Amino acid sequence: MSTVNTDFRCKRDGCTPEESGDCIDGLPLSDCPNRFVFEPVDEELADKDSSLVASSDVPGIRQHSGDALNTVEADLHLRKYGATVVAFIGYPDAGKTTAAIMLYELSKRRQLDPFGFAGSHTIRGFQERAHKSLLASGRRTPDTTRTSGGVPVSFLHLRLQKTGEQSEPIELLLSDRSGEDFEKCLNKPTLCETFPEISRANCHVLLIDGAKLANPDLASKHISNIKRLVFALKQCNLLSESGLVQVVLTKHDLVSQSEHKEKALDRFNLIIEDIKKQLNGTVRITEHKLAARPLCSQFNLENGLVNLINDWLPQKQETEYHLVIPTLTAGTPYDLLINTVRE
Amino acid sequence: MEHMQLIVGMPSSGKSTFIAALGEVLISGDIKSKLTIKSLAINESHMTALQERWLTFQVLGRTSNADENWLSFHVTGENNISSTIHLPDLSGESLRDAVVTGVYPEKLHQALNNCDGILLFTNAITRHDDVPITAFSDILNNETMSFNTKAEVETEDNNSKPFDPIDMPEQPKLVQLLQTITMLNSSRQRRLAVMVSAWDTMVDQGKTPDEWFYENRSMLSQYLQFNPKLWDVRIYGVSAQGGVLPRDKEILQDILKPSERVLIVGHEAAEHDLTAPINWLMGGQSG
Repeated sequence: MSTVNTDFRCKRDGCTPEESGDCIDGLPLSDCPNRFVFEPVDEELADKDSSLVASSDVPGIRQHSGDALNTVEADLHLRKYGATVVAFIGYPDAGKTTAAIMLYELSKRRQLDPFGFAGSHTIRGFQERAHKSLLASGRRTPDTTRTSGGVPVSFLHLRLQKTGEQSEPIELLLSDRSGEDFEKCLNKPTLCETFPEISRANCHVLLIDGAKLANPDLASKHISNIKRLVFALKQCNLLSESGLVQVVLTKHDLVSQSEHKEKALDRFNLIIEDIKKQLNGTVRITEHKLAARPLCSQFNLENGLVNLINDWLPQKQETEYHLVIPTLTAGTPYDLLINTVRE
Repeated sequence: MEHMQLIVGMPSSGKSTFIAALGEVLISGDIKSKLTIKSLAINESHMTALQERWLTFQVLGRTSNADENWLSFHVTGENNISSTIHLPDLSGESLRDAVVTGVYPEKLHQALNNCDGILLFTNAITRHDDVPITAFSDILNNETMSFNTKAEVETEDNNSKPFDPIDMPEQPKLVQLLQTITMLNSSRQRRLAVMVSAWDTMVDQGKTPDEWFYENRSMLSQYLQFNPKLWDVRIYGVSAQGGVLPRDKEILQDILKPSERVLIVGHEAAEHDLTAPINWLMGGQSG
């Protein structure tokens, strides 16, 4: 079994250092700011349509079941369809998985205006994570299925499209990693270098647990842990890769109901200030607020979720192009015709 | 000319009832229809069994794997062109299992790959299989306050039903199925007739099938709306049984021509003409 031999790949469209050995910008490969490490891919698998892998033990032809993608499948998906990779970063119970499934659940229910549901290759993965929020689960209180520690990162795919206009679909790959993995980075900061979604992300979403900020017993420790994590990510040069860090206060509805609301919001502002100071203008930093209640349109509090998505859209660059036609003084009569074009 | 049309849907979505009623419309010739029968197939045993149950007002139960059968109709269209339509009477369970596991029996896989058009069934009565708990939070919270302690609620929640992909709501399964079909062959646009069955129960609402579909199948309708290069879609409301059995049996028995039991609404289909969507699907064949 052979593998595609890549030490790293490039995020820029059209730049394929793994094939050419060159950087499209002419930089030494070691200095490329767009490089990212990805796991080697089984070439035999890569050559096939990812959805058509014959199973040896089950009669029938195997298609992708809609489960969440592992890193190899996510890489294949990126090569085939392209996507914005969104890395959710945060400690246990911060709301990382909830944010991902809410994008799916609200869009499919037409509650994420102006974005609508245009498809997903991980429907089963989304449904599994959202199961505890549905009446069919038999629960009385909604919850999100916890992402287990020790399990490798997985990716959820979602295709959104703006309603009411002719627009291109927005392909998203949303990372789903256990918060315990980020806790481990407290003791071993360089561990975060091994998280492929963080080095590959087009956007980093840092989730701050609002309930903890509103709890005087837990707030200081949570803030310290956040600062440590940001420091570790910065130290490993991982946040500047994407150019966008979104700092999200989760469970904002719980914060609003808390007697410590003002303090909690002050703490959040201090975190933002600290992150801005740490990253010192190297990346764009935006701040957002989301509610805690899963599977409810109120989650998209003050359009928080929609604003998150808007940041993921490619930034329009209004560039004016001027055609400069040189004046030729020598050449064949045919070449000199160019001068008459300008006249 | 050969046409491969597929009838798909989750269990109890009305597929077999439609096939039985379609057989009656074609064979009896009682009503004016877009397609007329030209000759019988070599083996009509499955069709006659379905039709018999339909004609004697029996509820057509689920199609088991063993009962799955491929039916052929030799028909003539309005333009006098003869065609053979192949319609499989697929078990909803086997289709559902394939969708949620990703393992497709070879014959089904082939059919999905080669089909020219699809009749996709969804039962209008199945509406509440994807309800968030938060939609009932107030009721559940009040109940919880009255009868349960917090610890009891937690225990109840801990004993809740684990996720089983078989039990996923209908729409995610249908979108997954359609996406699988497009992955097999994304180079051409297919025609898709969405058949909202049990339409007789919706008639009083005064909505068109398109309006009903938009409001009640938001995930599926958005997926189709945003993928026009892959799917050319029409929505029909259909009542192949004509009413609710056994409740409406006597009313249905009073109808002289059995074909007039059926009802179809949408895209200028004549009132009882179940062949209209199939005729439209045939027009979209692009190889």
